[in-house]
Amino acid sequence: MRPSDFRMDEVIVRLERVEKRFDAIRAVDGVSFTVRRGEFVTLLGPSGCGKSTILRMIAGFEDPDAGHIEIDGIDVRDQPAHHRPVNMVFQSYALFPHLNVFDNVAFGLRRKKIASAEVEQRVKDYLHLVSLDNLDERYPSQLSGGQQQRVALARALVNRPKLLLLDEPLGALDLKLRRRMQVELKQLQRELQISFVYVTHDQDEALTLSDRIAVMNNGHILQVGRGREIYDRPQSLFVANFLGEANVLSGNVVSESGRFKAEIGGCLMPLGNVINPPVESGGVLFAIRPEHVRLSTEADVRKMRCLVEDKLFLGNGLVVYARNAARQLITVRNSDRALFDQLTPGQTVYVDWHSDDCSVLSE
Amino acid sequence: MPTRRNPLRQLRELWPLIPACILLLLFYALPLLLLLPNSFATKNGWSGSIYVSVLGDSYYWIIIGRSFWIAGISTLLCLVLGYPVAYYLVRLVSSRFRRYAYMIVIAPLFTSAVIRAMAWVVILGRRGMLNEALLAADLVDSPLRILYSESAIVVGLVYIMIPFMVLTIAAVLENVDSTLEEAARDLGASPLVTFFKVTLPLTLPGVVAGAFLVFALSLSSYVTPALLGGGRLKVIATLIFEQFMRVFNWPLGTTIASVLLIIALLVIWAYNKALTHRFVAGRRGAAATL
Amino acid sequence: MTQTATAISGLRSRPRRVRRAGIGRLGVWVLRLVAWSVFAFLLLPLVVLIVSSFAGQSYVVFPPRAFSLEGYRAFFTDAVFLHSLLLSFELAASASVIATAIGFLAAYVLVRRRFYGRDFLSAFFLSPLILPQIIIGVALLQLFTILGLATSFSGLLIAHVVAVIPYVIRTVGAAFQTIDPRVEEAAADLGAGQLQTLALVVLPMVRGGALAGALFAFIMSWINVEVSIFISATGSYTLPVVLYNYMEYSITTAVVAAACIGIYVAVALVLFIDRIIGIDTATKL
Repeated sequence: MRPSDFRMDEVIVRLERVEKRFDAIRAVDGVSFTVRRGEFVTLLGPSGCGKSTILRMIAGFEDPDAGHIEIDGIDVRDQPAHHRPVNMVFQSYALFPHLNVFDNVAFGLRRKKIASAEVEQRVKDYLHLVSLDNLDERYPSQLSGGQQQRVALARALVNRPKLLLLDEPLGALDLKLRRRMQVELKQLQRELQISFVYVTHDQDEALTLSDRIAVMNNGHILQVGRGREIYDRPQSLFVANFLGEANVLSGNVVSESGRFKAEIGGCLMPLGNVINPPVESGGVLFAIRPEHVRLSTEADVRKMRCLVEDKLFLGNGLVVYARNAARQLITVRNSDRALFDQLTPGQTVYVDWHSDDCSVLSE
Repeated sequence: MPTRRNPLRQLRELWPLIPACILLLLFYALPLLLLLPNSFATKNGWSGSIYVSVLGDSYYWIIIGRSFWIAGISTLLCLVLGYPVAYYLVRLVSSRFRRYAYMIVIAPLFTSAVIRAMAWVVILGRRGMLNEALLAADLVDSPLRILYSESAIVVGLVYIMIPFMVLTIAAVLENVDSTLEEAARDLGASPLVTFFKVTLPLTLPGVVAGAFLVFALSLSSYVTPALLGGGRLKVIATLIFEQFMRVFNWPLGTTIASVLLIIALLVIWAYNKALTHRFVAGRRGAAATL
Repeated sequence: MTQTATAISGLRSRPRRVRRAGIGRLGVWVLRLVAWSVFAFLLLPLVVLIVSSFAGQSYVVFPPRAFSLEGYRAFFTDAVFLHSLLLSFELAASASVIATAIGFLAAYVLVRRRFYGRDFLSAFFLSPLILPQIIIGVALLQLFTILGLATSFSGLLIAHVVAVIPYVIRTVGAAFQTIDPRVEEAAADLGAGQLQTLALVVLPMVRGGALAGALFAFIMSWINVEVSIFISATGSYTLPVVLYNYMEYSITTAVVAAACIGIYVAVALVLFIDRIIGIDTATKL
C-alpha cells in the first residue's frame, strides 16, 4: 500500500456510550471514543478501571450491555470474535504452547485458508520484521520473555488487522527490555500504519508511545488528548495525580479587570485561559507541576511568599518543599544548583509560575 | 439502545452440551422420574396401597432399621478412622510419600465391590485367614462365625467408604490455613484445645459432608451386604434386588426403591448444603470426591 | 509435552513443609499411627487376595500351603470367564470412548461459558456419582424393559456411559481449568471458530486430562456391578457379575485369580493416570 492510500482522518473504531457491568460493578460506564486510521491511542488507568474490558469488547470477548461498537464503519454487535478484523496481543502473550513459533504465527492465516506458499512467505516476513529469524522451530517454552512477546506481536500483525489491540503487552518484561520494546513498537506502528489501541497503567509508556491518551478511572474516560496536553493541562484531580506529580492547591477563581486570576492562600496568581470559569464563591483546585514552579529568593509582591520546609537532593533533580501563608505545601523541582545550595529550612522564598502552567481542576 | 445477547449466538456457544443433555435426560432423569409413578401403579389402577402395605408391615421396618443401623455404625467408624488419615495426608505426610499415601487411599476405589467383598470372605471365612490365625494361636477351639453377620457387613462397608470420607475431609482441610493452628498454639492453646477449638470447627463442613456422603452410599450399597451378610441379613438394597431379580414383584421393588431414592436425595441435599457452608472456600458440592 | 506437563511436574515436586506446630509431637505420632493402621487395613484385603490366588488348592485357604499358577490356568481355560473378560473389555472400551467424547464437549462448556443454569447443570451431570447405583440400575431396567433394550448390549452400554460420564466431566473439567482462557481467546481472535478452537488448540493442550478421563471411565465401567447386574443378558455377563454369581456358591482359586486380574488392570491404570496427571489432581476438582 502506498502512503497516499491512507486517509488519516478515517475512523477505524468508534465506541458510543458503551457500558459493561459485571454483577453489580460498572466496569465500563458510558465510554465513547474513536480511533482514526494509523493512530496510536492508549487507554491509561489504574488496574480495574475498565481499560482491559474495553479492549476485550472491541475484540469480541465480551458483549457490551449497552452502546455501540463500530469497526471500520460496521456495527459489530453480532460479529463473533473470530470474524472481527482486529487482532490482539495479550498480556500473558497467550501463545499456543503446543505449536512452534512458525505454526503460532501462521495460525490466523491458515484460518483464512490462505495458500501455504503465501503463508510461509508472510510468516517469514513478519518474523523478520520483529527480528525473530531462524527461531521458527522453537516452542514458546523455549523462548525468552522478550522473544515470546515478539512472537505474539508477529502472530497478530501477520493478519494485517485493521486495528491492533495490545493489553499491557510489555508488562511482564524487565525495565530495560521494556524501554527497547517501546521504541520498536512505535517504529513498527509508524511503518505499518496500523491503528493501535494500547492498554497500560504505566504513564511513561503511555507518554512515550501514544498519539493520543485516554485517561480512565472507575469505568469512565476522564480526559482524552495528546500526551502533552493532558500532562500540562489536567482537567481533574485524578488525572493531575495519576500522570506525574502535581501541586494541588485549593483556592478560588477571581475575576480582576476582565482577566481570571487564581487566588491561592491569599495571593493572586496568574491563570491562563479558563474555559468554564467556576462560580466565584465556590472553592476550586489548581494543579501546578513541580517542575513548572519557579523559585527565587528575591522579594516580589506578584509572587507567593513561602517558607522553605525541606530540600532533597535526588541526583538528577533537586526538590524543595515550601509552605505558603495558608500552610499549603508546594513542591518545587529545579535544577538550579547554586540556588539550591543556599536554601536553608525556614528561609523565605518567592514562587510563581507561568499562567499557562496552572490548571483548574473539576471536582 | 441497549444491546441484547443474541440467543442464536448463545446457542452457537452452548451446542457442545447437547449430546450430554440428551443422554442424561433420556437415560438418567427420565427413568428416575418414571420410578415414582410406577410405584403407585397397581393392578387396580393408581393407588398408594403398596406404600401402605410396606409401611404397615414390621418385616420391612426391621429391614429399614437394620439398614440405618449398619449405615450409621459404618459412618461413625469411617469418621473416627478417616479424620486422622485426612489430617495426615494434608498436613503431616512427607512430600515423597504423599503420592503413595494418596494411591493407597484411592486404590480400593478402583477395584470392584465384588472383589473387595471377596477379599473379606477370604479373610473372615470359616477357614479364612483370621480363624486360621486364631486357631494356630490357640485362642479359640473352633472357627468363629464372623462372616455373614452384621459385623462383617460393617467391616466391608468401612473398607469401601473410608476413601470417600478421607477425600471429603482432606478437600476442606486443604483450604484451612495451617498458620491458624500455629496461631492458636502461640496464644497458649494446648494441642487438644487447638484441635477442638480451631481445626475441628473449621473442618466441620467437611466432616458433616463426608458423613452424609458415606451414610447415603452405605445405606444404598448392595454388593457388600449381599455377599458379606449372606441371604439371611437383608437390607433395603438387597430387598430391592430380590424383588426385581428373584421374586419379580416389580411394583413392590419400585416402591422400596422410591423410598430409598427419597432418603438418598435428602441426605445428598444435606451433603451439598454442608459443602457450601460459609467456611468452605470455593465451589465444591458433588464434585469434591469420587 | 507442553506447559500442562510442566505445570503438573511443578505441582508434584512442590516442596511441602511438614506442619506439626498445631497438634504437638504426641498428636503427630497418634495421627501417624492411626493413618498407617488405616493404610494397612486398606491394603490388607488386596494383598491377601493376590497371595491366595497363587495357592494350589481348589478351595481357597490362607495362608496358601503351596505356590501354583493353577488358578490362572483354570481361569484362562474357562470359556465363561474368557467370554466375560472379553465382554467387560469391549463394554469398558466403548463406554469410555463414548463418555469421553460427550463428556469432553460438555465439560468444556461448563468450565468456560457463563450461562443461566450452569451450576444446576453441572450438579446434574455429576450427580450419578453420588446417587445410589442400585437405583440407577433399577430405573434403567424399567425403562429398558419398556424400550426392549433390557438384555441387549446397547442397553448395557448406555447404562455404563451414564454411570461413567461424571468421571470424564470432572477429570477433563479440571484439565480445562489449568489452561489459560486467553489462549482460547487468542485462537478466536486469529479467526478460529469454536469447533476449530476446540480441535486445534484446546484438545492438544488437554490431551493428558482427556486421556486420564477416558481411563477413569474405563476403570469405572470395568469394575461396575451394581448397574450391570440388572441389565445383563442371561449367559452374557461382565466379569464382575460372573464373579458375583460365583461368590454366591463357592470361591475357587480360578475365581480369585479372575478377581486378581481385575485388580492388576485397575492398578496398572491407576499408575498410568498418576503418570499423566497426578493422582491427587485426578480425585478432586
